[in-house]
Amino acid sequence: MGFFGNLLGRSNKPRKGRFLKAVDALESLKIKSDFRTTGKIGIVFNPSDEMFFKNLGRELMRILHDHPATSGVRFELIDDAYTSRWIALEDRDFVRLANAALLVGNTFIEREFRKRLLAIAVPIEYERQKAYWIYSYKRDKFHPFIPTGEKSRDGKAEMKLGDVMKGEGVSVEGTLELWYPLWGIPF
Amino acid sequence: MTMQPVPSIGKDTELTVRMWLTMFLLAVVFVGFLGILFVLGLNWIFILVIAVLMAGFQYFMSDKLVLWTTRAKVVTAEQEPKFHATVEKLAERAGIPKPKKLAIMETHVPNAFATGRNPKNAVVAVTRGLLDRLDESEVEAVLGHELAHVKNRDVAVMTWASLVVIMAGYLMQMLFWMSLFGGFGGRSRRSGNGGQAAIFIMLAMAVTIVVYFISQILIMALSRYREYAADRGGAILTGTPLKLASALAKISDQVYRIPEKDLRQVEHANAFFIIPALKGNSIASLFSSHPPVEKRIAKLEAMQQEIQQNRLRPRQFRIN
Repeated sequence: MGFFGNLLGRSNKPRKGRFLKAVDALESLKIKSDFRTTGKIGIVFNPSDEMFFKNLGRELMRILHDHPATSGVRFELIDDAYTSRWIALEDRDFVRLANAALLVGNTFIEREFRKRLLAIAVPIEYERQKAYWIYSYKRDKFHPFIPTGEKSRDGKAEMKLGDVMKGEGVSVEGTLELWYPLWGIPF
Repeated sequence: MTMQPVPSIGKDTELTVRMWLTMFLLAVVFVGFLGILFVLGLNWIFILVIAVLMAGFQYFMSDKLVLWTTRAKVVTAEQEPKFHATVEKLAERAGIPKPKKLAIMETHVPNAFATGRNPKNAVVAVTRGLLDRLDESEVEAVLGHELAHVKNRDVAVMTWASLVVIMAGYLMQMLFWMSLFGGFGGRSRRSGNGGQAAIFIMLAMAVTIVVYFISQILIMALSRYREYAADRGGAILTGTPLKLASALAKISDQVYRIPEKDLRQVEHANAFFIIPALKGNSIASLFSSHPPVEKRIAKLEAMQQEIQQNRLRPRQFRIN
């Protein structure tokens, strides 16, 4: 935790602890069970007409490059069918990737665009199945998501994965009704 | 022409006995409570009138109150022809008028309810999730269960059975405020013996709390019996107890609570409409208004056996 704490420097910044705890949990799950990260993490948000969003590409380039812990992380901006936009981050090093996701999210928050942030999607491979850990900014909680088709998901497997996450101390959304899917995640 | 199931066929005698016994015990508690209030010198008529007014309000407003609190939207036959047709068919078969209002709750969690003081003023509501996630015959089985509630007049039974609980609850509040503001009207002030008044209030409070819990437990038991009866009545109505069993299994399956609506859609609509799940606790089964699903399913499977052995012949009441 110290490393991440130093990286962001501000201990009172909200929405940091739980995300980092989940990153730690994933790291330990990778070692002890059938978990793999994929080298990608995405942040989905609702863009607006403001300058911040128009210049977002350049801005991201700058902030990711400026920080030693995130320099070299590549990204792509992808519009989706829900008029939302993804920042798809890519790096071979998972911790670097998680840092980048957090840094990008915090940049939004610093510029008072917290309400525009929807979620962070962390793709993983779990028991040879493509799955996601979805972090909801609104709820400050995680839930599992295992799509099986265009608009279908494996709820049973998700509940099992949710238990695994809980077992590792991840703040899992307790209300199953709020485990919203993100159909067609582009990575 | 309406055809009605012959009531004597396949009656669950044990259930009927338990139900009447529970109602009898409730009546005993009720009368006993009134007696104690009388002996204690409390104004029992006043408390009874208040409780009757409160129960009456619930009784007459049940349909409106429930529609309002659940945010269920009333749907017309043009909007939901299938839903209307099924309820109409089942109501005719049950020998009751078609419920006045049919409603849908826009949530993905499968569920249904019925309310209203009598069959004519009944409301039957289902969730969108029930219509989407259950097959046609399962939906019909669930509607059969709800119409059995309507036919059994469960809103009336449960509301008036709750009278003693309402009374005790109201009295508890009253005694609480009295204990704060020192005494029962003139009684304590006149004699000036505050200690005696305090003991008196504590005694009344103790009796009321005991009555409250005993009657609450009895009402929960009665409610569970009414659920079994509605399961049974509904299964006789549709002739398909196993369909109700599979519907119950789906409704209670946690996995159906997981939504299909996209996070981005939900956030755009800015509607975070949720029904918080009740978490179980150690005394949940004692206070639970519904029997455990496994028990209900087991009973329905036993009913299927009866049908196959021709002891129950609901098929003859089927229209199609």
